[in-house]
Amino acid sequence: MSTHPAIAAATEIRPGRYPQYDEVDLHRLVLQKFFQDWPHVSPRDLDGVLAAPTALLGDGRPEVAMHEILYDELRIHPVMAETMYAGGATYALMVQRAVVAIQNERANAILCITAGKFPSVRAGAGERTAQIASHPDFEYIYGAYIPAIYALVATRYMHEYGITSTHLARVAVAERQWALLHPDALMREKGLLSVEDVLASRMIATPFHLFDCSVPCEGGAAVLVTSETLAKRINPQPAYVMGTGEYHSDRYISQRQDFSVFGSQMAGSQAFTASGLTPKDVRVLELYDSFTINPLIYLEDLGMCGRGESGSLVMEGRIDPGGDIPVNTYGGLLSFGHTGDASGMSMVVEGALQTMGAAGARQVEDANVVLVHTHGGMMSEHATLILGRHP
Amino acid sequence: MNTAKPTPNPSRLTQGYWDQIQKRQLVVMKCQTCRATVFFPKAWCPSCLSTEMTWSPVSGLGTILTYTIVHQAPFDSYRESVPYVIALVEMADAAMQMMTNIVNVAPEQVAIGMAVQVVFEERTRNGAPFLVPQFEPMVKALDKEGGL
Repeated sequence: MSTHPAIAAATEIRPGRYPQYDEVDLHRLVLQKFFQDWPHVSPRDLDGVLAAPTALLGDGRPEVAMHEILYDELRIHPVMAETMYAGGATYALMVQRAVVAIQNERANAILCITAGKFPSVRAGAGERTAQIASHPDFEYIYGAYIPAIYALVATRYMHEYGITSTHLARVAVAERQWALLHPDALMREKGLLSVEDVLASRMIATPFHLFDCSVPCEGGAAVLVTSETLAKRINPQPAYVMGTGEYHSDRYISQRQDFSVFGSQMAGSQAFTASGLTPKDVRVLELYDSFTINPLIYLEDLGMCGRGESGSLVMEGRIDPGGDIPVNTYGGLLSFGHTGDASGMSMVVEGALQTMGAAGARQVEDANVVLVHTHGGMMSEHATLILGRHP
Repeated sequence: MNTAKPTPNPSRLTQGYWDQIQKRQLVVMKCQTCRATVFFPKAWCPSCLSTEMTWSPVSGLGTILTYTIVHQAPFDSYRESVPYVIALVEMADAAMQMMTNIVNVAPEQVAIGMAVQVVFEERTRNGAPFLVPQFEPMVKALDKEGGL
């Protein structure tokens, strides 16, 4: 990219339960931690704010003009500010919008921020997410909700390409290994997971057992996208945005006719073309993983292996710590935690930290090229970022 | 605890569909101008933008494209039905695909490619009976009626 925009700073608060705070309060915690973590950034440096609407999943007050709350909180007058929404893909898309604004010299330092709460399924999240995810006339009335909808994707994809429940389970096993290396991961205290543990956990909707599903929690995160000059002042090794891709497909699952390829292939190939890189160049992947099927599909859609090969790839330990294709090095939504409306930012933050070489005990060596892929809705919207150490 | 299974709130676009369902007829929207099949119902044809849309009967025979056996339900009325099957069914005689439950079968017998046919399940809406289309295996019909 000609002007070399980069993620100069990235912060995530510890996922968990914050009963004393609402979603707007959680944004304040994110800001507080962000400026503590990045002492060379001050609110006066920011000339852009991208935010997401709050409380779509949680019980708090929905804010559709979250950017106004944030620039008021920071007492700044940005030249670019907006509240935008594309589900879990929102945050990789925020980075993409910020990159374009910097390339067009509209803005120089754009804060992308979010916070969210995901109630447990037993606390009513099942019904609420069913209403969000399914068509009221043609889906909701059949008892459809998010795990069942993704299960429809999984059953068909497994049928077409020979993926098994053991392969799904092995994804959860790998991500738990990574979570043990992250001090803040929600499931860190639970210790290692085995394929047998996953297969023995209670069935939610075939083929998904409980441990095939992400863990609901609360949290928030932010990244700062800047010009190259400013990025270097903030961080000696920024995460340069090498290429981006975006694709939007069917809103509802029952409208999807092809379960053999997803928007991830289109978004991913755009990002590879833009960056001039190929799947062989990618050292680390951060892949949206609301369920274990997602990383398997994405490894294939993004060209990291052939169709039907992701199962044996994970069985060989290649996505584990020490593997040659590390995936979800922070534990993923499966073991780090799924922060509801904010979840899609976690993989952007981790992709940036890996690229910066700032990922601590879980740092992958030579993380020169890191691919982040996120989706929103029922695998409806897709957003890919390729990050790199050298512009 | 609400044990009544959900019913739709028919809209301007879907009222015609639900009216036909109450007569035990599965229908799909067809464009009068270019004959395109349109489902979910739309105000105009996404192919030719015509607003001349009508409801056309479909046989209600189809095959299972994909399915899941749900063990944890999202709300009370379906909690009593676990394990239940949600499937996407492709119609045999129309470019139409829809979500449904597969009923009148043991869930573990459901499979991709299984031939199914529409049946109408009675629910209650505003205190009155309201039919919702569901699907059951074809073989069931053969048992009941001794062949097609």
